[in-house]
Amino acid sequence: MITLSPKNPNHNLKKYKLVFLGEQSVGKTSMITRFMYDSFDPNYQATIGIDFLSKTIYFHDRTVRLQLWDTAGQERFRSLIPSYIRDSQVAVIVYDITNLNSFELTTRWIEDVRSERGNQVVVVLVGNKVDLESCREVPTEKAEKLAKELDVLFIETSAKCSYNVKQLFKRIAEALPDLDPDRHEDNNWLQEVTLETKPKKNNQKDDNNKDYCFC
Amino acid sequence: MLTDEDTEDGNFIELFKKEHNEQFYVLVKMHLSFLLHMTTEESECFYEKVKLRKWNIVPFGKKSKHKQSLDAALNQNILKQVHQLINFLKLDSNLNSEGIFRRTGSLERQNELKNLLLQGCTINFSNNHFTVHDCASVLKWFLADLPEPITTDIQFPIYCQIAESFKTTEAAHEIKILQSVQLLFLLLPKENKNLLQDIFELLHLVMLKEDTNRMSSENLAKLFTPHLLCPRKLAPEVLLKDSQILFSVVAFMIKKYPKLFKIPAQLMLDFRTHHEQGTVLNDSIKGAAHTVFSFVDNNKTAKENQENVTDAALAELYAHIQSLPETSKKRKLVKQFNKQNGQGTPLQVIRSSAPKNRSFGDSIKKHMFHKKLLKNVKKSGLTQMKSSSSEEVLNETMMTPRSRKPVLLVSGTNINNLAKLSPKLTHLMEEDSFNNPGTSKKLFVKSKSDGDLNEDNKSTPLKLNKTDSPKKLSHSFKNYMNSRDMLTIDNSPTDSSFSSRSDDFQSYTEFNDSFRDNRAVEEMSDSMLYILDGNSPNDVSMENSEGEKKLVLKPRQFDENGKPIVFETSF
Repeated sequence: MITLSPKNPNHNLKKYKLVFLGEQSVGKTSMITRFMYDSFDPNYQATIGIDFLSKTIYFHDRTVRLQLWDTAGQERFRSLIPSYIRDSQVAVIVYDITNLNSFELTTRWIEDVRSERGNQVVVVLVGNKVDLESCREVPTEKAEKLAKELDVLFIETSAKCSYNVKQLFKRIAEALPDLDPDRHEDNNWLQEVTLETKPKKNNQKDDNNKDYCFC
Repeated sequence: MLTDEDTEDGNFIELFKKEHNEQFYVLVKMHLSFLLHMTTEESECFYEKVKLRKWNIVPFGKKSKHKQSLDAALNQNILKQVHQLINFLKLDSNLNSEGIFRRTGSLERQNELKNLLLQGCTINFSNNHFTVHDCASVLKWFLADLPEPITTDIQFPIYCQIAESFKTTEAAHEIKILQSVQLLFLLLPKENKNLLQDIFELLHLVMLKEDTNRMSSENLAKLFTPHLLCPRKLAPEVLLKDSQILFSVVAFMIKKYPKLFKIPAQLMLDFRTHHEQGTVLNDSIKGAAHTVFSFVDNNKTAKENQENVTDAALAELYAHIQSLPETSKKRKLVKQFNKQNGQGTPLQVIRSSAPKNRSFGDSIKKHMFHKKLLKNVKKSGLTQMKSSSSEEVLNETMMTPRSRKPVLLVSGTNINNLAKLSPKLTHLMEEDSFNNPGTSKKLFVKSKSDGDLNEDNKSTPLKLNKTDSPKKLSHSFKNYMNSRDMLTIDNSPTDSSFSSRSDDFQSYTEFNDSFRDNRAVEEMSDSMLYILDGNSPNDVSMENSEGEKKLVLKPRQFDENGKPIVFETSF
């Protein structure tokens, strides 16, 4: 879907850090497991502290290395998280569509991310567990509205059914180049990318073109 | 889940703690230090702090309620409130709810619930206003918000030590973890212990419903480890690291809840023993800890005894004879034993009338040492320093065939352990024998020049080289002798001649480098061992320049021809 001019592709292996945030048992680890191994672990295991995984994804003309930081939703480990947010270019904030409380608390997470990173970050709001449609507590519209208000990306997924998980990472990858930390040293590459991704011009701001919503 | 027996034990413990407070902590602390191999100092400071803490409880009422803080130690009021939560969560319908303690409750309702609890209200859970997840979150919050973990800050390093030393996956370690934790609980203030017990009961109940609520003990442990065990001021990275170490122990504790709050049987036995003695002896044993703790592996000992019937029977026999009254008959029997079991070292009695059926090695030995040196001995004129009392002591000291060491303390109770004494204990016994003035006195002087000795030592390997097994000497021989020298130097400091003697052996071994190999001592020929044990060396003896009591060997009795009858060595 991304069409970039094939200029110097190997040179452009960029590393990006993604931090997954959200309350307990919303499916952060499951989402990462689905993306990394395309599998779903039916065990219901809490994460201790922080997990780290890394995956390289290929686009038509470039390669991106994503480092995924899986955090524990548990209260006691919150103190660990800010330092990981600080290092990340992307924050994925997950909630459980069958648990309204987990959705309500996403605003707190987004605030945390904004306070650490300001606008130098891609924020994605992810409503997980859409396979449990019958238990839904958070309407899609409500989440869309919140995402617009907070100027973040939004998508609904199901890690269990592998629904929209790849899509999520593609969107993240599309949004990434704007945040290239080396863009001033790598102008050619930056320009191409910027030109190609800009056409999706939802929600654009004058001086800040990295936050937009797809919905 | 507690039986009558447990309640009885619990009551006894309470009573004991009340009556013998100091002894209670001494015993618990001691058992704990045995289990965890802690030094007394480590457990001492730990214990002192626990004691202090008991008097430092801040009354809950003093705390500001607006802060929504439970910045207070446990008191009855707040415990009552927490029990409302625990009892509500214990309901079957709640235990079955998926993700209990994991799913997020409503922040708003949680705050409301906290306020109500802090105000001391009785909560009406029946109107379904508060969900199970709200209550579970508030319970976790309560535990997290205590000024220190419910297991107290000072116990935290001990839990870390338990987690590092033992693996929950190994059956042998399980009992140690369990006992350590049981002991730690006994050291907690009563309020903490009771609440902890209720919480573990709840967690165990949740775990039992894993099929429906999907919360395994591991899962619960991950959620509760930081709340229950970890101090509040840990750096985030340390907290993470420690939680990862500790969570398997907490999972184990949740699984083992039915046994978790019992009292270790050994400790209970100590308590009861002390209690019974305490009424009789009272002051005389104050401060001393009496324990049933044993470092002997009874199972292995029993097994060994079954397999080695002979040794066990012999040991019994020794014990029996040792316990006989001090009569000439006993002395005779002891002598006979010592003769039969190979004249164990270091004490020995040698008859001048050597056995007829000598081995090849014996004849070499005779050739080397006996003949030649005996002449020297005779020529130089022996000084006899006979002591009848020392002879008696010697004669009454028996040697075990195995350790070849004197049997010092044999009683009906430790007879089974005799054959399997660990090397360390054997060593201790050895030291005992050296410290015994009766045995250490038995040093006799024999005049003989150092020059002779060196010459003799040097001549030994050369001559042995001609025999079948020359290589069985040298290195192992040196080790063997050195080890014995060490013992001698350690235990009889007046015996300065031994240092020169060890030098002699050094030169001897240097001389012998060409013959050296790495064989172990046990590979030496029997005859060499025989010599090394001091059986032959009527001759291998020495004197120092002052001619004082520094010699090892001395002929004790002479027959009509002036030949020595009995030689003794005392190391």
